[in-house]
Amino acid sequence: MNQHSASSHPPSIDLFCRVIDFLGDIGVCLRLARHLHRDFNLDVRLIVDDFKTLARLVPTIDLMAASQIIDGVTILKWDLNILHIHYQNTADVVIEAFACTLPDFVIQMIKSARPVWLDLEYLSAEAWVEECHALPSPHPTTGVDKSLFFPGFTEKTGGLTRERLLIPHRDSFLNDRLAQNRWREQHQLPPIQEGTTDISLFCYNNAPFHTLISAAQASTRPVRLFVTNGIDQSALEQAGILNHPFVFRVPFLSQDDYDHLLWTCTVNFVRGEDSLVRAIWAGKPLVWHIYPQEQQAHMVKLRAFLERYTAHLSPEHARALENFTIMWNLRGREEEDVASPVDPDWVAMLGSSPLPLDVPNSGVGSSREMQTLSMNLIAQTDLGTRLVNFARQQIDLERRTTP
Amino acid sequence: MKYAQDVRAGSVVILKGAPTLVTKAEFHKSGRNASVMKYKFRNLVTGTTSEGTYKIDERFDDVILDRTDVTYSYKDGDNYVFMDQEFNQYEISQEFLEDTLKYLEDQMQCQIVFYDGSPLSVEIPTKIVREIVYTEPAAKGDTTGKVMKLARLGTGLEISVPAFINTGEKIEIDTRTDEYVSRAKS
Repeated sequence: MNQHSASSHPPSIDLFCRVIDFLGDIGVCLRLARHLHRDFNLDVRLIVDDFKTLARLVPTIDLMAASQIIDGVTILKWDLNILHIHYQNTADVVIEAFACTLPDFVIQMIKSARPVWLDLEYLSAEAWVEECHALPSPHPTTGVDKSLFFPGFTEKTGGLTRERLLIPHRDSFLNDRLAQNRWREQHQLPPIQEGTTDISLFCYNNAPFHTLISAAQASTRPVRLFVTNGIDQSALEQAGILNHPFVFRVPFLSQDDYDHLLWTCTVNFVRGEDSLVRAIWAGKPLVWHIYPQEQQAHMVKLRAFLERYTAHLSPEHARALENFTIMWNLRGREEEDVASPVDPDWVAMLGSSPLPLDVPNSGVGSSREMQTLSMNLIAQTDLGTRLVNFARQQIDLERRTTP
Repeated sequence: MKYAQDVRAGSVVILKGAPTLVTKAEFHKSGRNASVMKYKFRNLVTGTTSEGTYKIDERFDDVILDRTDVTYSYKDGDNYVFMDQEFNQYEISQEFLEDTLKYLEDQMQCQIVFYDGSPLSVEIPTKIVREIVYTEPAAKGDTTGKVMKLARLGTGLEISVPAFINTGEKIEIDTRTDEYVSRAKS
């Protein structure tokens, strides 16, 4: 591949990913790979080091195969012996996801083939990301330009992954109560009930579960908690969550089915990056459990997101949501105290005013404010479009400057 | 080889085979993202300027250059004049000092960097002590250092400091990252 200096075909893509922690990084990469193939008709190779973990998201994968094509995406095992045989040329665009560090021989191939070289970074709402996004920078040892590509919430960043048919599909589903309840039944979940707050729960194991249970019990509205598969059983047992009649375990869901869960719930508790973005597209109130780091390094990033998320709320309600989200992220870390008080009936706060349940025909509700954020972001181009446009610009530039 | 974290304003590195002066260096860090350095460069062969972003663990070929200890004396038009212990004077153009200027003060100790026999740039110490000329009054009760506020230095540079720091206090700053390090020991 990498014929970009000789032809004008759509760019081919290599996406390298190492599995780090559960399904976060690989979830983002698999979704992006599929998005680039389906919506842009690109040849995409996803190079992954851990097929066993990937198999949870792609059950049809052959664990023994070095290379295979699934849903149009070539999946190649990241094993040096295998790569030496199966990775003979770079694609037109090489994406190194989340600082996964490419093998030396691949870097040598990049040096001679000079593809568009990107480093896909984690999502951030911080302002500095705009200044550092997609700035072609000569790599110190190869001389090939490499750019840090930052997903983000503004036009000056890499945007958010959003498949072309996602929003029409969501809207169609939310306008079909029968389809929603059919989906719920297929996944052993109770049907939608008017006036009930359904919360999907996906968070890290250190979340303050007891506060959620207490608040659900104290809520003026009936609450049902749908606990997803990504939380350790031991953490749930320790918190005594599973004993409550309003708690339901959700079986492991594919990426598409997880979207449906988010769409049928009133409020979504999400963790990490991929589920946050999907919850934004769901257009429902959300609470983000950010990936925890030492010395609270993640809190700056969380506050930057909250500033954007609460921008459409009244100051009073913005503060309530901020306080709750910060409590959710800090409580459970023993050394931390929460500086600001948390609204004791925050579930009601999330499930009703000031986040009114007003989506016609859905019955499960969505907040005007959250829809505003979602609609503002839908008005922007998606990450795939920006990535492809950037790659094409770089390829054109390389063509013009290469003798 | 030098890690990006240690490449700062005044450093000269090799980029695309050419000696390149770093005129500005900004440090960014957040959440799970790798810490990032953003630079402004000046190619010493062609004179062209450019920008680049790098993770802090990226490694550069640096150019070993002659240096000499100097103190900053005065400004002369667009040039800044430095003097060594033998009272030799060296003039550096403002455009080569972009990022250094935010810390430069009278009689400041620094190093002149020579390239091809001529003074090229100035490197300042990685840790310096500066007085806060203005910040909002200290917040009572917070001694954790986790609540931050902005504070202005004499050069106009604003940096984040813990809420308990007051106007008039001296603090130690890491000039590579523009970050507060500690209260200066008196």
